[in-house]
Amino acid sequence: MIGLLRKDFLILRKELLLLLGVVLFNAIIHLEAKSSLSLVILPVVLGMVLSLASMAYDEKSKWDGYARSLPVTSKHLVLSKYLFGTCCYGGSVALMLPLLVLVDWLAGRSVTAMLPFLLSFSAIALFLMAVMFPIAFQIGVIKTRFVMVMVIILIAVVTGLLYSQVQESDIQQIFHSGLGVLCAVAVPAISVVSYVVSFWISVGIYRRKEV
Amino acid sequence: MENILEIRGLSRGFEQFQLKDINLEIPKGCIMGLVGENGAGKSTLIKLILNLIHRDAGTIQIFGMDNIQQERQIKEQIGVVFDECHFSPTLRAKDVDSIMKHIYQNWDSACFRQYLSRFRLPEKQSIKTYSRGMTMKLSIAVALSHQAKFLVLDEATSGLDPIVRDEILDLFFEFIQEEDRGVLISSHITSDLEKIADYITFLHEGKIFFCEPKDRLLDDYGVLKCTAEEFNAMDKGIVLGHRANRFGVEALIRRKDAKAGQMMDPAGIEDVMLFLVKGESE
Repeated sequence: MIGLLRKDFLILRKELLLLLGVVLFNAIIHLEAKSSLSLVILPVVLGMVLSLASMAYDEKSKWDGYARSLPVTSKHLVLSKYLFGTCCYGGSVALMLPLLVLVDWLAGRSVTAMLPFLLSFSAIALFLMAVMFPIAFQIGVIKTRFVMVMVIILIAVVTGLLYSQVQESDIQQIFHSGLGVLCAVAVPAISVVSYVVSFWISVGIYRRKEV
Repeated sequence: MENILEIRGLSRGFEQFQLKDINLEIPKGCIMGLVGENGAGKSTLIKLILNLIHRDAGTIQIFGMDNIQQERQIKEQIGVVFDECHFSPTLRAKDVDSIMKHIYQNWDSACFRQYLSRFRLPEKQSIKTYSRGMTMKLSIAVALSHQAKFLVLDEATSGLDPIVRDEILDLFFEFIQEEDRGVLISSHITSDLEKIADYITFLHEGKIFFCEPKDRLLDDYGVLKCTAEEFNAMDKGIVLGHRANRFGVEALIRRKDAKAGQMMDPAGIEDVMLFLVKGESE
């Protein structure tokens, strides 16, 4: 398993450095912005983009056919993708958290205001990855990318519409209310459960697939 | 003699093709050459052996273990080389080493580095800068660096120049010096198999046409060249296949069936394949 994870990180090392640069650049831009709400979208995107990128490289080099001749089980091959996605997603959230606090502190904004947004969007990101992986294992990366681009555009449009129609102070009120607290617990829980269920669905798909 | 690979009653059906009732054995210490025309089922057979596709019927035992029940233990001891390199072009040989040492329990980095040095493969350059011969050598270096006892090679030498092919065949000779090892090599390049194989299995339309020791195959068969009249006068029962050309007729027969004074050319594996298939179709 470590070997498989290592492979994905080694293949994407340049992309990881590039994305780190993009994140830092974005953070600097947001010093002058009214709010850092759009920064919290990044973990949503990074986990999915990098996971799909690793699967795309595998598809291009027809890695699966060779990987299945190695002493690794189908479960481990699938698990390595989920773990890689989790590492990218977790890494981007862990990177975003102090960055968000720093940006808001430097910009003179409340440093905790965006945290509920970050947590909620992170949970949505995990849920989207839970949906994405079985699709990618079933239909391949190219078609999955198309599906996920549509999903991300939809999220961006809905977020944009919401943001334009509703005051940010109202959104913050909701997040800090009882409903917000319930969502803060329920949404991550649903996302984690979906991620685990998605793993087993993907294992079933992968085992049935032939090279 | 113990077998490294035993296949009994193996079958797998597809829409347009069926691999049917395959029975095959590879004794330890031997190299089995697998030949057949395109679409004969060679790669399908290899995929079934490696459990990359499901079988409809039959059993496959490698090292005396079922290839599905004990898949992981078996694959620790199998080195596989396909016709193309499946490592991402962005990786380097040293990355492959750091990946494989966490996949194979018996991975030997020192051995891998020795092969890299022997093959003159740069460790720190990405695989995308390698030629086809270099990527094949990398795949073979990986296959030989984890104390594998069984090598499975699917068209591993196709597209390589004669010098590189010769170098690679020497490696397989070295590998088979240990008597508990075996090699299954599928190839269109029958001259390579004539050099190194102990047994030849000819797969034709999903069935085993023959499986014989190579030396016996080459000694038993010969190509008789005669005129059309001489051919018409021959006992057709001894003719295994024939083809006509503007000079006369060439017929594949067993040497023991040749009459005194008849001139026979040696038959290579390719000749035997061609004549037998043409003979069957006629």
